[in-house]
Amino acid sequence: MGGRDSDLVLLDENGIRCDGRKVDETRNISIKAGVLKNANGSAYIEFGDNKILAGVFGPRDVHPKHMSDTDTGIIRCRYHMSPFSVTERKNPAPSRREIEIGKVIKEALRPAVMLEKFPRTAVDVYVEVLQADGGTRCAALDAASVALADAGIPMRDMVSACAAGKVADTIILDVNNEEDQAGQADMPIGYMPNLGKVTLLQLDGVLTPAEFKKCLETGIEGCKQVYEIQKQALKDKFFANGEQ
Amino acid sequence: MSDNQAIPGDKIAIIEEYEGGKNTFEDGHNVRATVVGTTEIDKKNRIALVHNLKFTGIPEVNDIVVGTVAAVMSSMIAVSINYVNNNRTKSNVECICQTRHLRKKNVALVNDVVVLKIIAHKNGTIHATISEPELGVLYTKCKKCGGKVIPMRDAIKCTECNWIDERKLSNNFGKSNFVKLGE
Repeated sequence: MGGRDSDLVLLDENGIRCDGRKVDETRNISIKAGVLKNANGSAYIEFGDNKILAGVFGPRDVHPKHMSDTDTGIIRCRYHMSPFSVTERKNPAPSRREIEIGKVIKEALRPAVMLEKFPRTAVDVYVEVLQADGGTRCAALDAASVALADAGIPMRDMVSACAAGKVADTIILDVNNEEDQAGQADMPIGYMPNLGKVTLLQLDGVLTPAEFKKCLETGIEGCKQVYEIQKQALKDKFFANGEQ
Repeated sequence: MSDNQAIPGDKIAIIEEYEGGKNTFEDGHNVRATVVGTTEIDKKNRIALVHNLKFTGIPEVNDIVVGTVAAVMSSMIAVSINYVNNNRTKSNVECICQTRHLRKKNVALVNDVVVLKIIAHKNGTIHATISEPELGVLYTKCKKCGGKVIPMRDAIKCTECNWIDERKLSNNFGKSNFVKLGE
């Protein structure tokens, strides 16, 4: 960890990062809800240079039937990176990393979605990464959460996600691809802002207990900023022009 | 957000003042919205609820559903739901309907289009009833030749082979505006 690319200055003496942001600044985020006609709910997010589309189907009957649960519904998530999403062509077959991120997103959404209202059914979340630039799991989780709300699926709270990390011994908010590759730590966080509960917490790297605490607090602040944008996206979809 | 607009997680009332109604949940202190919608505060009954702006495709109690019979058992039928309160649903969920009390040989057969009323969600299963005059078979064909049928009092008669068969017919048999799902 740290300093793999010696030419790249991740953080200069003025506290400005390699892409011109301050340490506590997120990339530009825009979210649009209801972009797909054929899905029950959908959302498109641009998180810096990440471009991600999420579609939700369900609640619907479960196939294969043996996967259904008589007491509750199930949530399934497919995270997929398009072959053109990265600089070198990515094999479109599901990789170990994609399967893991699909699982992580599913587990981050599960505490929020009230699946017990729909026994024997499934909610399917499909995430397609069109362009990747570091932090796709957080951006995908943000889009999936908006898509679930757009589908009318009952949720305890929205799930907002943002990463924090450590570069040049400094805790930063919203880690980009360069900082992820060459930085010292990366901590994606999923958070339910109204309930104040963390649904996703991963850490790649080494932090002291004090740094861990600061990193978590920084990430949660980022999640709160993302939540305002998610809220605005849903408001634009459902309540624009006085339409209800 | 303006006063009556809510998204999941928004606080719409506190539990000391209001009970949580439809599309809400209580977190121990507050009543919160679970869906995107408009809030309604019923001050008389002290209930706070949210009107969902999206239809999930899963029927609720007292909803009228139209579906295709998927299986017929000795004392019940399983119906794959296609419409909930006249709204098309692609969720393909099934409900079951007890037919033991009807004392008919055939209440409905596989692929018949039936209209039912949802009575309960129990043990993870949607239960429906067919025991009201407007509930029952909306569309069927002759089981012998596949020809068109006409209703007789509590039965149907094939216009081609004159086969007479029992069914629990709806008042709206043959009059329905629904797409003939069985075709």
